[in-house]
Amino acid sequence: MVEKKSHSCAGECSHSHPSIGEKEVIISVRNLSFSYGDVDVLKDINLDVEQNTILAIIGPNGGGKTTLLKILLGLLKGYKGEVNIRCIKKESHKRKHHLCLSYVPQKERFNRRFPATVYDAVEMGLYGFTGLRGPDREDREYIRWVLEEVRMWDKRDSHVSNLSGGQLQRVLIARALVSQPSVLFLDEPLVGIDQLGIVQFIELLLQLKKELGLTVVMVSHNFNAVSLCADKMACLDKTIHFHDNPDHITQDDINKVYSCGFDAFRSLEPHKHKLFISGE
Amino acid sequence: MEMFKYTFMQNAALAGLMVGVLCSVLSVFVVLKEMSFIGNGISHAAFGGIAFALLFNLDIFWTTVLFCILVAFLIGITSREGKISADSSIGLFLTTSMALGVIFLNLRKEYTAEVFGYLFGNILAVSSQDVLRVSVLGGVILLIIIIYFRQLQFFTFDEEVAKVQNVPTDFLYFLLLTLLALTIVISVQVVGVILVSALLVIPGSVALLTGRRFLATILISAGVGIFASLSGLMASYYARVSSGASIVIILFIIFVVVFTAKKWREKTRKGEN
Repeated sequence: MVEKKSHSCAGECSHSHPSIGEKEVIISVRNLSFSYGDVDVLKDINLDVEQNTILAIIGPNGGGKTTLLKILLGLLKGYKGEVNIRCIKKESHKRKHHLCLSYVPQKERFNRRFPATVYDAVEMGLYGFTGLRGPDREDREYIRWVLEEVRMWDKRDSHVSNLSGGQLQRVLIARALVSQPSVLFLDEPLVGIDQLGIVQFIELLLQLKKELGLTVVMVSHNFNAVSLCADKMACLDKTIHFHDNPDHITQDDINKVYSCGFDAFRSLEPHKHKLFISGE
Repeated sequence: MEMFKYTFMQNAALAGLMVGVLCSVLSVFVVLKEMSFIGNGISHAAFGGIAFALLFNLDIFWTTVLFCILVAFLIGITSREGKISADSSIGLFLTTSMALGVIFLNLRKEYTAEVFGYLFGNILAVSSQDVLRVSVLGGVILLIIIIYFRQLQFFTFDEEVAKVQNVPTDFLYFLLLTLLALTIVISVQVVGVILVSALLVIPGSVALLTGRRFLATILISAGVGIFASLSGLMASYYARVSSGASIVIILFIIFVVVFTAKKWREKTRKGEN
């Protein structure tokens, strides 16, 4: 098998890209497989992500969600198949720094012992560009703008260890946003966040999609919440089961994906399924 | 002070100062990045390097530097590839280099008492030439840390995200290993192979109990390191005990005091609320 690595996307990116309908395809995955030793984690994945859409990848634990995310981010090598990511420099990228991909990791693995304030943590998102010199005035203004956007400017001097789950989530999003990414990846953004936090998170995501023209790929096992904001949903359990508008997902589809022992839905009342599946 | 009448004590104080600063600055990275066992592995590799140099009559300092960097990279490569876990990899290389060291010393027919000084640190062994080398090399190490300070900070904070966001994390990892290896070789003369890992763990741990921001934490750590090195040297001079052991005991006392004070403060604060 030939391994193709096409994370050819730092800074200015190619302008030739396939398109489906009106929107440009930013990420295209073809016949992607990955295994740890003899254990297949991902099998024959095909996926297209269009510009300025929110894709939610749901599926049971151990279904390969995080592995797929890490391959897309270029953190995991040794896969088979093709991954093409083409970022388009948008009009809205007025600033000199512009990164193709940015990443909000699971906040559970965040090192809260690290000595940093909210502002410090967000500023670090720029160090990939500013490197050795550090942020200038324009950079600092942008950090302020991003922190206001996620409503954490007032908390800028708080130590990261003193934040609630939802607040920490917004700080991590801000850190990812200061690099002006085209695509934002989120790994399990809703774990450990209360109902109000989830609503705020969804509002923020929709606002960012609109204001920044952001493309979002998120991985979650909270089907209910992500179906409220996702344009497309992919259900992943080693393979992609479907990749469609959340409105078209049926109970059968869900049963198919979650047939392998995932029980989050069982606790929900039947009428709620319908409510969430039908989207907004 | 009376003790500084002697040239060897002046040398020891200068070397101790440099060692205090270097170890404690790196200590913050070592603690946050959970690399303390790597520090331990590298310092034991120094023993193998010293024995090798003694056996073949090579320059002890540079032979040990090469030996330590080699072992640091071997640990780094094997554990980063994920083929074996970091602590197994360190256990493997640590014991192998110690064993090599013992065999090299067995093969050497001459008297090997000076090795004892390298195991536990011997301030009397620090010459003016050593001080010059320690200062120049220490200056270079600190300069490199200052140059890469921001990226090292992001790397230490969240390596995965830093990598996605354009930070050269693999380069920084091996840079940190190299700086660690150099610092350990510099420090071995003052604190010894066995105790140097304390200097790479305790100052950073103390600073992390108190520092709110990264730079402040590093400065606090450096302060703790300098204080412990100099007072440890004084203690060793007046009480005629090993310099390395004195420095470590003083560091431990500082840790206990700061830790207790912090717990006590948290408790009284809770009481007020």
